[in-house]
Amino acid sequence: MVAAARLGDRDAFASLVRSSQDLVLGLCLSILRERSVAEDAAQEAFIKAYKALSSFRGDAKFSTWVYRIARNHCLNIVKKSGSSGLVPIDFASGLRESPKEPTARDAGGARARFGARFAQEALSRLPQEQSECMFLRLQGLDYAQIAEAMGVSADSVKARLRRARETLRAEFGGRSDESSQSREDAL
Amino acid sequence: MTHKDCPDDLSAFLDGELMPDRSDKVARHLVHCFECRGIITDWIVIERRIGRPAPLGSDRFVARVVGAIPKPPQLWSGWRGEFSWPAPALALAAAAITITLLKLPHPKPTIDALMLADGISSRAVPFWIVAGRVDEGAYEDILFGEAK
Repeated sequence: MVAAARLGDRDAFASLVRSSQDLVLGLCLSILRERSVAEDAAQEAFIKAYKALSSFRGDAKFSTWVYRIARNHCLNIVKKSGSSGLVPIDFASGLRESPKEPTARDAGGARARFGARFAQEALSRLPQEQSECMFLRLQGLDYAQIAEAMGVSADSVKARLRRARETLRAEFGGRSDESSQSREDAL
Repeated sequence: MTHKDCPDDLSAFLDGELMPDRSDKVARHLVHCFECRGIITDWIVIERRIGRPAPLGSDRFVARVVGAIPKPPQLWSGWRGEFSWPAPALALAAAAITITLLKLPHPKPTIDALMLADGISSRAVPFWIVAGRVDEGAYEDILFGEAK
């Protein structure tokens, strides 16, 4: 597909965009916050990727390669806007916006804390490199792909995800009624 | 595996990123360790709450990106616009000239042509020289003034 796109096949490039658009748009929305601005940035990132296809080595997935391009592009936009990258990256905004419908189990006050909004806000409070790892993991990328996308080692990814999960668990007080129930069910 | 070692690998175990032997050790530990099972369960519950990423893309976005791809530069692009008409005419003329030149018989060198190349007018040479009835030396003498 990449080889065909490199030769100017627009349909092949459209397939590449289709397969990686959620990842790239999610990232752009997470950094830039506004849907229209994020779409513009994502489009520019894809065009940059198209122009640079000859330099794509093919030892990574196209989606992780274009993710890196989009990441640098968005951070440049933030930098140029004068905020010097101080705007915290909200990876939760690239996740599901409508919270999961509450079930009978969720009805209790303590359990209500575990709503999607609370969880996503907790994710946003994580250090940027941890929340980005979580974001990519939730997008279904494996450790090698996350490492490629972020330009770090797989061991770093493993450590960041573990710390992120420990922090999130601590935010929730370390134990939920639901998880206690699940454990009881499992026993 | 001791309980102290386990938490370092729990996260990777949850993600299916451990080597098989290591993964087996964690799984065996989890059977007996209520606390580690609790940690993993909490993580699963929290991640379910965070939710799966929303599908942000669309066919409209794909079309928008593909529509913005710069077109490759084309041959004859400089002949576009008001000067577009001479291009095909010139191309046809060039092709016609080339074909004509290729079809022309290659001219054999004549004595007249050789003499002209030497700066001698063929008009000054008697007809029998042109007919080849003289040897090479006589030819030179005649040309340069001393006939035998």
